[in-house]
Amino acid sequence: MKATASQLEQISLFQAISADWLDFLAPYTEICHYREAEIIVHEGEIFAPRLHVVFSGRVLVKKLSVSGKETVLRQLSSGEMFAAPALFGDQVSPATVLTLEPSAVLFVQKAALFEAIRATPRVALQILNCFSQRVQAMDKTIHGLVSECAIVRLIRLIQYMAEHRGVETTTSGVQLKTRLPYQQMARMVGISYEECIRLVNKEIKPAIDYARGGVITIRDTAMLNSIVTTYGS
Amino acid sequence: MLSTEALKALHPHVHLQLYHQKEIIFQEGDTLPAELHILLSGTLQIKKSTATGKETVLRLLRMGDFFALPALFDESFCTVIVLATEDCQVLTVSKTTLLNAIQHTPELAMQFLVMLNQRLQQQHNTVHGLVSERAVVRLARLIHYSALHQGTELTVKGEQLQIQLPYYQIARSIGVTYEECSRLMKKLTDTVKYNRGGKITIFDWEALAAIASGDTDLV
Repeated sequence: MKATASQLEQISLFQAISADWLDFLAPYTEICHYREAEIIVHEGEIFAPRLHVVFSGRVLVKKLSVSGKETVLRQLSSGEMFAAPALFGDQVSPATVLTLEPSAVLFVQKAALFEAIRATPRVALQILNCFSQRVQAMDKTIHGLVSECAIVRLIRLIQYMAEHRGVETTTSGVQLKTRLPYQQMARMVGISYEECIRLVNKEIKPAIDYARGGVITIRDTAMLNSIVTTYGS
Repeated sequence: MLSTEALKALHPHVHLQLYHQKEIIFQEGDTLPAELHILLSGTLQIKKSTATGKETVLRLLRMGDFFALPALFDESFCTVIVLATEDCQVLTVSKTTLLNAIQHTPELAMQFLVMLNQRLQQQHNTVHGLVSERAVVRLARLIHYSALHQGTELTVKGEQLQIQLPYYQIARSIGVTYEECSRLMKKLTDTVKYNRGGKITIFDWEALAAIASGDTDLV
């Protein structure tokens, strides 16, 4: 299904593009729908040269080692782009992308997109800003993995998700909008599934509550911060 | 690395600054000027430090690489430490000049995006290595990557890396202790040789690539 100009307008990346250019882009787009747990791109696959943006739903980006161990790199929601090498790299998928819930992905053909960008260089700056923020976030992740202990990395992940993916206030505390099951957290911070359960249920239990499926509620923000300070020193 | 054409387009508006070896250009938390910084010569180390002083070496920059990019997007605080590991020449371009240049030559922004994409993919590989690979695989990857991207020169003993990677720097890049790093290097004896000060010579590229791929068992 092709996207309409008004659907494109909903994507923050395109907000600087004029209505005329959105009309121009529309025929070069496609919106594809995926079921939960469906793979959108396999690691090592050759990409078609096009922009990939999450149109609705949530997707997970992960890498697999030769021995079968998995690393969860990022979780993306609507409006976020992925598969950057399809536009700016060697067109080989560096990771596997799969849906966490029923999702839709917007594709825009590279040649048409670049033509629109040349007419509206502000779009290129927006992508540059988005990449720059990702580089900074990855710097933090690498620093955590090299120099911080596991409990600090786990708390930082929860705090990051609360800050960037939103929360809602419930009677028992502040609940993360994003679900973070044990397995996913473990493969994001570089610990085993069992170690993740132990840290969540013993070490940081009073400060957060974990419910089935990865529903996390922060009960005591000050306590979380104080655990980071204690273990960080 | 930025193309010569791109550097020429910016040329009339740049300023040149010199930094000496071991000089810190930015500290974490420093206010960034609204400028883009491009390394013209020398090597820079980008690192972060914890409250207790533990350091992580994130990457080395070489000629044509840029840094302090967040300054272009109204993020005025530096989030990393930028250290000159040898004498360096750095070009600075004001934010206004750069944005004007991009308006006239959007290809310039495309080049930045290609470079940033490479940096991001390298970061993803690093994270994947730290989370899912053994330390010896991470070590082999760092040496292999540095040889491919920073170059080597042929000596009588074999191909020597252009950059020096002392034990401490390797240890703080792949998340092991100094002692563990020295022990791991001995495991690679038939493949690479470490000499005082971080001079690394590669004897067997194929074996190094195989270890870096995670596909070889090393006892």
